[in-house]
Amino acid sequence: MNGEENPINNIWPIGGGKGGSGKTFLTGSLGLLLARKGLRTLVIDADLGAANLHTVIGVAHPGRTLSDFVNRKVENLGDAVMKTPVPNLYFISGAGDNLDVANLVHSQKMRLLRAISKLPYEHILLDLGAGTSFNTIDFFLISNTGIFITTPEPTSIENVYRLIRSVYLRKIRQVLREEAFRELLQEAVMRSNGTSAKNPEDMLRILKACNPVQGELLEESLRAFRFKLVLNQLRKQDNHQIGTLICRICEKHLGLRVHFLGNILHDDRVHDAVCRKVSFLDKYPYTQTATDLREFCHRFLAEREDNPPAGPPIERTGETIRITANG
Amino acid sequence: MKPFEEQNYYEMLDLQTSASSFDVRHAYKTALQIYGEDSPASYSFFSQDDRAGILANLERAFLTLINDQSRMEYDRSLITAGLMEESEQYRRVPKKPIPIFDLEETGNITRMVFPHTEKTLCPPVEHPVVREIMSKDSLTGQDLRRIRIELDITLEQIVEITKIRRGLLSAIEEDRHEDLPSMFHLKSFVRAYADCLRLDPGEVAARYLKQAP
Repeated sequence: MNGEENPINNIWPIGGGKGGSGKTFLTGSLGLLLARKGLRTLVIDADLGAANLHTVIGVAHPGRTLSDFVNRKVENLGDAVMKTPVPNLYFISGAGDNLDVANLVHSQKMRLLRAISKLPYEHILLDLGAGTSFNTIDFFLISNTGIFITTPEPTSIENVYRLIRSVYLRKIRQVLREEAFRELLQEAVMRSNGTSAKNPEDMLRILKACNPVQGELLEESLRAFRFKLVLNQLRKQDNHQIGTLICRICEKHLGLRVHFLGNILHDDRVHDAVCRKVSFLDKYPYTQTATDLREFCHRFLAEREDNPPAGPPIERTGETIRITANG
Repeated sequence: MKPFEEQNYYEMLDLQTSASSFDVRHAYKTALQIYGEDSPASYSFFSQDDRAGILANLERAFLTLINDQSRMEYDRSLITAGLMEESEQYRRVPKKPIPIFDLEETGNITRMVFPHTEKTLCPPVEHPVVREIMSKDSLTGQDLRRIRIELDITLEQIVEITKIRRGLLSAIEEDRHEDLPSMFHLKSFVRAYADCLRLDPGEVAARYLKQAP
């Protein structure tokens, strides 16, 4: 879109449906590993209203925060960036005394998303909040390379599916114009005999049936996603195949490409490291979990080389793309 | 993306049309891991009815494809519907013993062959350099190497054909006497080497051994 100020950066939103699945821990660890590889990395705590990434990466008292930017105390988001004890690792805190920041107005959110996509870093990791609120999902859709994280527990898997479907639905909404979306909803309700359409993939099917051109375009934009999945807190007795199977389900039933980036073993010492406010990777570098994290970072970088992020990273909501047959 | 109910049995089980009955069984097992009632991987993804429908479809797919007779009939129906090529139709292939060793070396092993250049096609003795060397009374390793290089043959090619260690061959060529094996072995190695160069093995071995200790 507007590429003039847009440096080449990679934005990686990290989201998962359920609290406690390790989004913040993973963001912190991945940021640390990338920075150690000499890549200029920025981690942003986008868990508005419940920020705590600063604790994981060893910044005790965040100075400037995202809410300063939202409330226009700082005009430039770059001024809210803080250094961390780790070279090459930079940080924008989401903490702050302003409790209202969790409820961003749409225009504020758009301003924030645009500003993030213009920041000059090689990797930008976004630590998102749990749940499927519009805020979370819009942050997740800032790039098409989001990372989903889940634990092998049914509660967590249920929520991650919920998140994936919400992202899917939000994308349909972004691509279609307002009235086209409403028409589609009505059509979907009609076809399913009065009950509301339960799944976004059914909506795509209905759209393809009534308007093949739009359906095709929508399917294409859904295919453009390069999502990733990490299975966190895997116990030894768990089925190690779950991650691969989840990716297959998404591919087969949602038509979404999700690339599995590996399992990360559960380790009680993570809890210990977080309690002591030290980096787990530094305190316990020779554990299986630390090895898994490094392996994850390795695959993450290798995968990016195979699929370089295509096109502009930001896809703005609210802006409607006209995709009717005659343009 | 085709909805699941509209996929054919092969697509449902993620199988190639050439899959063996072993593959079919394996694919069904994997599918049950994904779609089974207790599968954690698809927990909450499908509604109760959807899951039951998928499982029924999978079972039908499995039972059709696992039986040779019904699979052939199903393939024929796909062909008439234009969904499958005639050539892809399932044929029952009798089991053959699986070779443990690839005796004919037909696998991925690419055999090195001598390059057929002008130099190698004509008999080696017709080369002036070779003739000059062969006129000597005794042959050193250096001489052998000069002949080999003149004939455009690499040491690796000789290793490939004679199966003699590369280190040994270069010890012969470099006259490193301390690294050479016993006279008995040395003789047969030199013979094999000479054979590769299409020289008279007996002659070369005799002359080489004259100067060897």
